[in-house]
Amino acid sequence: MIYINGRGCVSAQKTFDGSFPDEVIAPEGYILPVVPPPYKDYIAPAMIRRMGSGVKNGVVASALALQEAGSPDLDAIITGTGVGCIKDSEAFLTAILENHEEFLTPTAFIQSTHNTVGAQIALGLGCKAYNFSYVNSAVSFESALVDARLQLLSEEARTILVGGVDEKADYTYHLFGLAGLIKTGEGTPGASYSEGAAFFVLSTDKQEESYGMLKDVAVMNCLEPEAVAPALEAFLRRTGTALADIDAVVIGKNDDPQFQEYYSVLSGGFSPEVPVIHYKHLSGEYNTASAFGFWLAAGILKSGYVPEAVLLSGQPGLSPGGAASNAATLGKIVSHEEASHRAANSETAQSGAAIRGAAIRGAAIRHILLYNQYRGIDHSFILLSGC
Amino acid sequence: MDQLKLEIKEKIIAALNLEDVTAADIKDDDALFGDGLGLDSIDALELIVMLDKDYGIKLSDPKEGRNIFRSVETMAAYIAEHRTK
Repeated sequence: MIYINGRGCVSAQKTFDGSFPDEVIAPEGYILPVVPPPYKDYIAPAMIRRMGSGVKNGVVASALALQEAGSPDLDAIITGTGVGCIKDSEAFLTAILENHEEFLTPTAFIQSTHNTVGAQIALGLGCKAYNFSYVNSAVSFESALVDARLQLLSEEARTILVGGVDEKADYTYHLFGLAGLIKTGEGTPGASYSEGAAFFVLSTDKQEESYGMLKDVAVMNCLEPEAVAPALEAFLRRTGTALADIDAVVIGKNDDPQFQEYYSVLSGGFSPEVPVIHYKHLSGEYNTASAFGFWLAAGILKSGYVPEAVLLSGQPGLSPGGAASNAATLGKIVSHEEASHRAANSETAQSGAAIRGAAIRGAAIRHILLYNQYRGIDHSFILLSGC
Repeated sequence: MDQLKLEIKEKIIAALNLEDVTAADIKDDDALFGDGLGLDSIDALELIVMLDKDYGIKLSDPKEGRNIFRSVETMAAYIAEHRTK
């Protein structure tokens, strides 16, 4: 068995201090900024000045996950990233062009590699264990999960830190815009983009506070919409789980009107009362946004609550095997500026007028299926189960 | 010379991304490495490139750096004497 013993997340929501989902930040524009955690609480000043946002977010997210898990000894650190430390890559490539290949400084180059996040986490912990980074576009996080799962099941490792991290960078996102990947207005093609980091402590040792279990992960590069249902059936069959056992589905649906058929085909295969949960309207799209979905699903599995802000359809209280109980934890939507200001002042979440931050108890959520795809490729299934 | 020292301080802060440090925080004779500003070997490389790029000074002997980068005062004196741009 593989248990999720800790999780940490830095994102466009206040996920780093537990304010989300009680407090939901309304997206503004189509490139969502992260809510910065108090980095200096986690990273030494001498280190922080050289770190790009992806490294800083990754280090904080990993620290949060390790803190929750009781700071265990790690047998591996495995990171998934789609674009790596792209901001520093842009910095040194720009310097090469502007300075005609002269006057090249080391800092941006050193920090620009895809394995910088995993390396900085290991340096901070003094961890010399297996350290690997997967750069597989929108299945980078899932690839890291596959590696972690195989090592844990084969007893090569007992406790692993695994996560996904991506950062945005001005020029790269400008290119994304030119390529039509980023939404420019209501109803236009493209999605809202962002950045973020989420890390998890996976272990073969169960803890009292474990979130749940990672049952299986599957990655598929190419899949036509009509092949989604058979692929799901095959995935569930190998996990020994029936479709009717799934109590909630977490999908990586974004606000791009294209490529949505995959999700409608998938959710159409479930009973209407099964909660379908989405998150990219709050996290934004990025190559490892599915790690945000994993973070969200782990929380739902442990708490039994489905935040109303992420409920796309279905009724958690009426899901198979559960009685309705619409107890709500009230919250409010705040602007990004307000949230950042609160974060900078280390304020805790405050409840206020309820808009969409309510949470609905989902009785008997035992099995959660996660499905993600990016522009018709890089499909993944993840199955989580309660302890 | 005072203008040059201020310029050097601002360039150091920008090049090394010294958060929460202003030019006024750096005294002319503060040690840049070790106990002073706490710069390290990677910063030294950044400063060598800065001398070359901004002042046209190429350090042929790395041992020279030990004295040149002792403080803003020593940097300013060396730059004033050797700059080509």
